Amino acid sequence: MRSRRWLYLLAAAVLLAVGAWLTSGGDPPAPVSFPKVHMPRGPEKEDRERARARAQSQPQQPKVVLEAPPGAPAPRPTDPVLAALPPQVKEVAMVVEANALRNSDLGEPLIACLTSGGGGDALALARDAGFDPLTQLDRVSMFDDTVMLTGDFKGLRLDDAAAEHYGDATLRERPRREGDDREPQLFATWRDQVALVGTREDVKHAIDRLEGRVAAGEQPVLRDSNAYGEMYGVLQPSAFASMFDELDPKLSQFIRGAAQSVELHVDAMHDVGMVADVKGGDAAQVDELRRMMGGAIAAMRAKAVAEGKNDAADVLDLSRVLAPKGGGTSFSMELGLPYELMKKQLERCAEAGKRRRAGRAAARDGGAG
Amino acid sequence: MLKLLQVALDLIREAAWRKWFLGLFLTVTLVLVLLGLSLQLDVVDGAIAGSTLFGEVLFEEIRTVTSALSPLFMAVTVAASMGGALFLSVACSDFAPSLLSPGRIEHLLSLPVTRAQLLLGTWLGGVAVAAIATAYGTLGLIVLLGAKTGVWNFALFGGALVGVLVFATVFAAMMLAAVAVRSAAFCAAVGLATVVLGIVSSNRAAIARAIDPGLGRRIFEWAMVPVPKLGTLAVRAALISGHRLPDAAELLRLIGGAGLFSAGLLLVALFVFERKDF
Repeated sequence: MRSRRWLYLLAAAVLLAVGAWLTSGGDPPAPVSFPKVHMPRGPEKEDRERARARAQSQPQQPKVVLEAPPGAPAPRPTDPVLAALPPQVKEVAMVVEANALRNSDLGEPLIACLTSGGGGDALALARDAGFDPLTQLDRVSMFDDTVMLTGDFKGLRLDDAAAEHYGDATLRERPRREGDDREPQLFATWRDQVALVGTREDVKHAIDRLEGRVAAGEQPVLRDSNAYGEMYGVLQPSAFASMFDELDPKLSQFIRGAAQSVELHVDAMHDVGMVADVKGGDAAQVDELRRMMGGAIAAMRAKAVAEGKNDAADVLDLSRVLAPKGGGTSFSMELGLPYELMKKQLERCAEAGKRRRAGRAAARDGGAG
Repeated sequence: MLKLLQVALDLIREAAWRKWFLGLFLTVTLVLVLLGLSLQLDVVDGAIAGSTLFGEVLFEEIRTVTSALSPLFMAVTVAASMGGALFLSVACSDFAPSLLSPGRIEHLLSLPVTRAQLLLGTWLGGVAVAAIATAYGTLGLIVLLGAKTGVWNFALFGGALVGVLVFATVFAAMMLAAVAVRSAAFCAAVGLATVVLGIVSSNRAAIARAIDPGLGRRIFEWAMVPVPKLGTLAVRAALISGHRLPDAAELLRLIGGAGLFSAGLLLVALFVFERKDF
């Protein structure tokens, strides 16, 4: 009996020792952190510094438009990317801070993804022509069917035999691919700082705006105050609605009726945070739209959970539709993509691109053999 | 085993007639009813489009039900784990001392029940009372919010189960205190101290850094080695409730550490109990 008692004590000592080892051994408990994605809700220090640096380094527009008298509309932006934008777009106007993205935490995996497949060939072509997008590209802007690139185009070697000049720009007809029945496309370079691709008419209008040949009151669709985040732009309701065509046709239809414009900002320096400011006319319709958008997010989440896509479900948990503002005629939607998830997706994309490329090479070799 | 369960059942019966536990169940019921009547959730297709509590707007943004309610489930789990352990430290403080009270213990020992069964049965009964109260509150919250939102968060049971482990550890320390010194007040003090030490142990690295290097810090570090990290365990329980699965290996270490600490203390209590003459 007595020996059994001491056995209890011995067993207790062993259990306490093993318990202490379990409690105190191993890595200390990791601090609990909740995914929090930075959302671009307004210009920040980085955005302001970027804008300031550009204002000092880039060529200024000639002051064709006279100084405005007090009370007159605000002056046009001096930033060439914003200045080249039209006052209105049919579908979309979007600016991508390519250089900032390249140097962000996601820059390397993003480049790996973009260049792993056919993008690698395009990169090689551009480098052969004397322009390295990885080091010489600053920004990309798209407005409807026109694409504008800013950066250093001094080294670009192109056949200028058939080139024509328009203002400070050099215009070249782009060779058409077989079966391409679209309107002929022009490739223009402006002061070795800007390249434009689009129809003759669109490119010339963009150059006019770049050089200040616009009506005194005309303002571009995006102003200095809209230029924040690594991607920013404005979408017409139809372009925004088309994103929901497959997911929820009813919602898509409602967006076309209730929304007037959607302003988009993406912060992608580490995580990816997206803010969409939806503006409408009628407060009741806007509130209905807001609720439908919230419902669509919940439905997407439920679908992701049902399909076992937990990453997607977690992402949708970071989404929210904010309270109405502006007297109920506008609201913001936020979507967050954590860094780890983005990195994983981009790495998968790079792997898939490499496999496709290897497959194509093998098929070519097989065909040749 | 059957006798052990009978002892535990006797303790549950005893607890059922105590005002403390009637009060506990009434409080949980009252909170659930109040929450049910005053919390208004505007649910749209599985998303919460705003909520009010007692007429006050809590938030107006639209979020998925999971992301909107996760913080609530997590806060409830931490509050129930740590608050529950504190409350039950006091409410259960005289279970073991009354077991050892003169007259009763002699009667119990005259029955065909071993001392080990008496001691472990009492511990099991106390833990069962905590588990029943937790299950009642958990089920109530799941049903209440499930009926309001259409989303049934059964993960809350997982969090609650880990939360009950916190009290199981505290109650094991109280059992040892009771057999060493037959005093309800001392028992309660040991229970409360165990909860506090469990929180201190969870933050041992940060606290150690705040102590000047030397003997004092070394003593603190060594003193904390066997103390289970009850605060961290409660936080991990909250993560489970909030659908954020913690690192499994870390969770098993925490649970294993607390479980073996409890078992060790119960064996020491048994050693002391076996040596006593009644």
